Amino acid sequence: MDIILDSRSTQRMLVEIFSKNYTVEELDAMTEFYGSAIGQSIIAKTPGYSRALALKMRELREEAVEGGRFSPTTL
Amino acid sequence: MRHALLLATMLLWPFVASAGDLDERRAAAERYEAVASTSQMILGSIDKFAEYLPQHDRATLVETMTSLVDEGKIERMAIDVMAETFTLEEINALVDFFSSAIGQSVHGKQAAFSAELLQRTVALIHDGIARARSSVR
Repeated sequence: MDIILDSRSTQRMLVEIFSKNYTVEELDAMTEFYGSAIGQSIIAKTPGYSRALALKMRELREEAVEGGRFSPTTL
Repeated sequence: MRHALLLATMLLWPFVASAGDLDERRAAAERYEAVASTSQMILGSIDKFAEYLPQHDRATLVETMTSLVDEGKIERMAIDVMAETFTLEEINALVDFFSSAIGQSVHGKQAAFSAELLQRTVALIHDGIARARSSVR
Protein backbone atom coordinates (compact mmCIF):
# COMPACT_ATOMS: atom_id res chain seq x y z
CA MET A 1 0.00 0.00 0.00
CA ASP A 2 2.97 2.34 0.68
CA ILE A 3 3.90 2.02 -3.01
CA ILE A 4 0.41 3.06 -4.06
CA LEU A 5 -0.22 5.80 -1.45
CA ASP A 6 2.98 7.51 -0.35
CA SER A 7 2.72 9.55 2.84
CA ARG A 8 4.05 12.79 1.27
CA SER A 9 1.39 12.86 -1.47
CA THR A 10 -1.30 11.94 1.05
CA GLN A 11 -0.22 14.69 3.45
CA ARG A 12 -0.07 17.25 0.61
CA MET A 13 -3.55 16.22 -0.51
CA LEU A 14 -4.96 16.52 3.03
CA VAL A 15 -3.46 19.99 3.51
CA GLU A 16 -5.03 21.10 0.20
CA ILE A 17 -8.46 19.70 1.09
CA PHE A 18 -8.43 21.12 4.62
CA SER A 19 -7.36 24.58 3.44
CA LYS A 20 -9.89 24.58 0.59
CA ASN A 21 -12.88 23.57 2.74
CA TYR A 22 -12.33 25.34 6.07
CA THR A 23 -11.55 28.88 7.21
CA VAL A 24 -8.43 29.71 9.24
CA GLU A 25 -10.66 30.19 12.31
CA GLU A 26 -12.19 26.72 11.86
CA LEU A 27 -8.80 25.10 11.30
CA ASP A 28 -7.43 26.81 14.42
CA ALA A 29 -10.41 25.62 16.46
CA MET A 30 -9.95 22.03 15.20
CA THR A 31 -6.20 22.19 15.89
CA GLU A 32 -6.84 23.40 19.42
CA PHE A 33 -9.53 20.79 20.11
CA TYR A 34 -7.82 17.78 18.52
CA GLY A 35 -4.42 18.91 19.81
CA SER A 36 -5.58 18.75 23.44
CA ALA A 37 -5.10 15.59 25.53
CA ILE A 38 -8.77 14.63 25.17
CA GLY A 39 -8.69 15.43 21.44
CA GLN A 40 -5.66 13.19 20.96
CA SER A 41 -7.42 10.42 22.83
CA ILE A 42 -10.46 10.86 20.50
CA ILE A 43 -8.21 10.76 17.41
CA ALA A 44 -6.56 7.55 18.63
CA LYS A 45 -9.99 5.86 18.89
CA THR A 46 -11.49 7.28 15.68
CA PRO A 47 -10.21 4.54 13.30
CA GLY A 48 -11.87 1.90 15.52
CA TYR A 49 -15.07 3.98 15.65
CA SER A 50 -15.11 4.39 11.85
CA ARG A 51 -14.43 0.68 11.31
CA ALA A 52 -17.24 -0.36 13.66
CA LEU A 53 -19.64 2.10 12.02
CA ALA A 54 -18.64 0.89 8.53
CA LEU A 55 -19.34 -2.72 9.58
CA LYS A 56 -22.80 -1.74 10.83
CA MET A 57 -23.42 0.19 7.58
CA ARG A 58 -22.45 -2.93 5.64
CA GLU A 59 -25.05 -4.91 7.61
CA LEU A 60 -27.62 -2.26 6.67
CA ARG A 61 -26.61 -2.55 3.00
CA GLU A 62 -26.90 -6.36 3.14
CA GLU A 63 -30.35 -6.01 4.70
CA ALA A 64 -31.33 -3.71 1.81
CA VAL A 65 -29.95 -6.17 -0.78
CA GLU A 66 -31.85 -9.07 0.84
CA GLY A 67 -34.99 -6.95 1.01
CA GLY A 68 -34.65 -6.15 -2.70
CA ARG A 69 -34.33 -2.41 -2.00
CA PHE A 70 -30.83 -2.28 -3.43
CA SER A 71 -28.90 -4.15 -6.09
CA PRO A 72 -25.08 -3.96 -6.02
CA THR A 73 -25.19 -3.78 -9.84
CA THR A 74 -27.41 -0.68 -9.85
CA LEU A 75 -24.43 1.64 -9.73
CA MET B 1 -24.13 -12.72 55.96
CA ARG B 2 -22.70 -9.21 55.96
CA HIS B 3 -19.43 -10.56 54.54
CA ALA B 4 -21.26 -12.44 51.79
CA LEU B 5 -23.15 -9.29 50.85
CA LEU B 6 -19.94 -7.26 50.81
CA LEU B 7 -18.21 -9.87 48.65
CA ALA B 8 -21.15 -10.01 46.22
CA THR B 9 -21.15 -6.21 45.95
CA MET B 10 -17.41 -6.16 45.28
CA LEU B 11 -17.71 -8.85 42.60
CA LEU B 12 -20.77 -7.41 40.88
CA TRP B 13 -19.87 -3.73 41.17
CA PRO B 14 -17.80 -3.54 37.96
CA PHE B 15 -20.77 -4.86 35.94
CA VAL B 16 -23.28 -2.56 37.64
CA ALA B 17 -20.93 0.42 37.30
CA SER B 18 -20.21 -0.42 33.67
CA ALA B 19 -23.92 -0.65 32.79
CA GLY B 20 -24.57 2.71 34.47
CA ASP B 21 -21.63 4.24 32.68
CA LEU B 22 -22.84 2.85 29.33
CA ASP B 23 -26.23 4.49 29.91
CA GLU B 24 -24.49 7.80 30.58
CA ARG B 25 -22.35 7.39 27.47
CA ARG B 26 -25.45 6.58 25.41
CA ALA B 27 -27.18 9.71 26.71
CA ALA B 28 -24.10 11.78 25.84
CA ALA B 29 -23.91 10.14 22.38
CA GLU B 30 -27.58 11.09 21.85
CA ARG B 31 -26.66 14.71 22.65
CA TYR B 32 -23.81 14.44 20.13
CA GLU B 33 -26.16 13.12 17.42
CA ALA B 34 -28.47 16.07 18.13
CA VAL B 35 -25.70 18.57 17.37
CA ALA B 36 -23.73 16.61 14.75
CA SER B 37 -26.10 14.18 13.01
CA THR B 38 -24.32 11.23 11.34
CA SER B 39 -27.16 10.50 8.90
CA GLN B 40 -27.29 14.15 7.77
CA MET B 41 -23.54 14.01 7.24
CA ILE B 42 -23.91 10.83 5.14
CA LEU B 43 -26.75 12.31 3.07
CA GLY B 44 -24.73 15.49 2.54
CA SER B 45 -21.66 13.47 1.51
CA ILE B 46 -23.70 11.52 -1.06
CA ASP B 47 -24.91 14.79 -2.62
CA LYS B 48 -21.44 16.31 -2.62
CA PHE B 49 -19.75 13.15 -3.94
CA ALA B 50 -22.28 12.99 -6.80
CA GLU B 51 -20.96 16.37 -7.98
CA TYR B 52 -17.69 14.63 -8.93
CA LEU B 53 -19.50 12.15 -11.20
CA PRO B 54 -20.54 12.64 -14.83
CA GLN B 55 -23.91 14.45 -15.03
CA HIS B 56 -25.82 11.36 -16.28
CA ASP B 57 -24.71 9.19 -13.31
CA ARG B 58 -25.53 11.68 -10.54
CA ALA B 59 -29.27 11.12 -10.17
CA THR B 60 -28.87 7.30 -10.07
CA LEU B 61 -26.20 7.49 -7.38
CA VAL B 62 -28.12 9.96 -5.23
CA GLU B 63 -31.45 8.08 -5.55
CA THR B 64 -29.94 4.65 -4.88
CA MET B 65 -27.72 5.68 -2.00
CA THR B 66 -30.35 7.92 -0.42
CA SER B 67 -32.86 5.06 -0.47
CA LEU B 68 -30.40 3.11 1.69
CA VAL B 69 -30.17 5.79 4.33
CA ASP B 70 -32.63 5.01 7.09
CA GLU B 71 -31.99 8.04 9.28
CA GLY B 72 -33.45 6.48 12.43
CA LYS B 73 -31.41 3.27 12.07
CA ILE B 74 -28.20 5.16 11.32
CA GLU B 75 -28.72 7.42 14.31
CA ARG B 76 -29.22 4.41 16.62
CA MET B 77 -26.16 2.67 15.14
CA ALA B 78 -24.01 5.77 15.55
CA ILE B 79 -25.13 6.22 19.17
CA ASP B 80 -24.36 2.56 20.00
CA VAL B 81 -20.92 2.61 18.37
CA MET B 82 -20.01 5.95 19.93
CA ALA B 83 -21.07 4.81 23.42
CA GLU B 84 -19.08 1.57 22.99
CA THR B 85 -15.95 3.33 21.67
CA PHE B 86 -15.47 6.57 23.57
CA THR B 87 -15.41 7.48 27.27
CA LEU B 88 -18.03 9.79 28.75
CA GLU B 89 -15.43 12.55 29.03
CA GLU B 90 -14.52 12.20 25.33
CA ILE B 91 -18.15 12.25 24.16
CA ASN B 92 -18.89 15.29 26.33
CA ALA B 93 -15.84 17.06 24.86
CA LEU B 94 -17.15 16.31 21.33
CA VAL B 95 -20.61 17.58 22.28
CA ASP B 96 -19.10 20.79 23.69
CA PHE B 97 -16.97 21.37 20.60
CA PHE B 98 -19.69 20.64 18.04
CA SER B 99 -22.32 22.64 19.99
CA SER B 100 -20.23 25.80 19.70
CA ALA B 101 -20.74 28.21 16.80
CA ILE B 102 -17.37 27.27 15.30
CA GLY B 103 -18.05 23.54 15.81
CA GLN B 104 -21.39 23.85 14.02
CA SER B 105 -19.65 25.64 11.18
CA VAL B 106 -17.04 22.83 10.98
CA HIS B 107 -19.77 20.17 11.03
CA GLY B 108 -21.67 21.96 8.26
CA LYS B 109 -18.64 21.59 5.99
CA GLN B 110 -17.75 17.99 6.82
CA ALA B 111 -19.87 16.50 4.03
CA ALA B 112 -18.03 18.54 1.37
CA PHE B 113 -14.70 17.72 3.01
CA SER B 114 -15.46 13.95 3.15
CA ALA B 115 -16.71 13.85 -0.45
CA GLU B 116 -13.58 15.59 -1.76
CA LEU B 117 -11.35 13.39 0.40
CA LEU B 118 -13.03 10.25 -0.97
CA GLN B 119 -12.85 11.41 -4.59
CA ARG B 120 -9.19 12.44 -4.35
CA THR B 121 -8.14 9.33 -2.40
CA VAL B 122 -9.67 7.12 -5.10
CA ALA B 123 -7.82 9.15 -7.77
CA LEU B 124 -4.57 8.88 -5.80
CA ILE B 125 -4.98 5.09 -5.49
CA HIS B 126 -5.67 4.78 -9.24
CA ASP B 127 -2.51 6.82 -9.97
CA GLY B 128 -0.50 4.67 -7.56
CA ILE B 129 -1.75 1.44 -9.13
CA ALA B 130 -0.90 2.75 -12.62
CA ARG B 131 2.60 3.72 -11.40
CA ALA B 132 3.12 0.35 -9.70
CA ARG B 133 2.02 -1.48 -12.88
CA SER B 134 4.31 0.56 -15.13
CA SER B 135 7.27 -0.05 -12.80
CA VAL B 136 6.66 -3.83 -12.96
CA ARG B 137 6.74 -3.81 -16.78
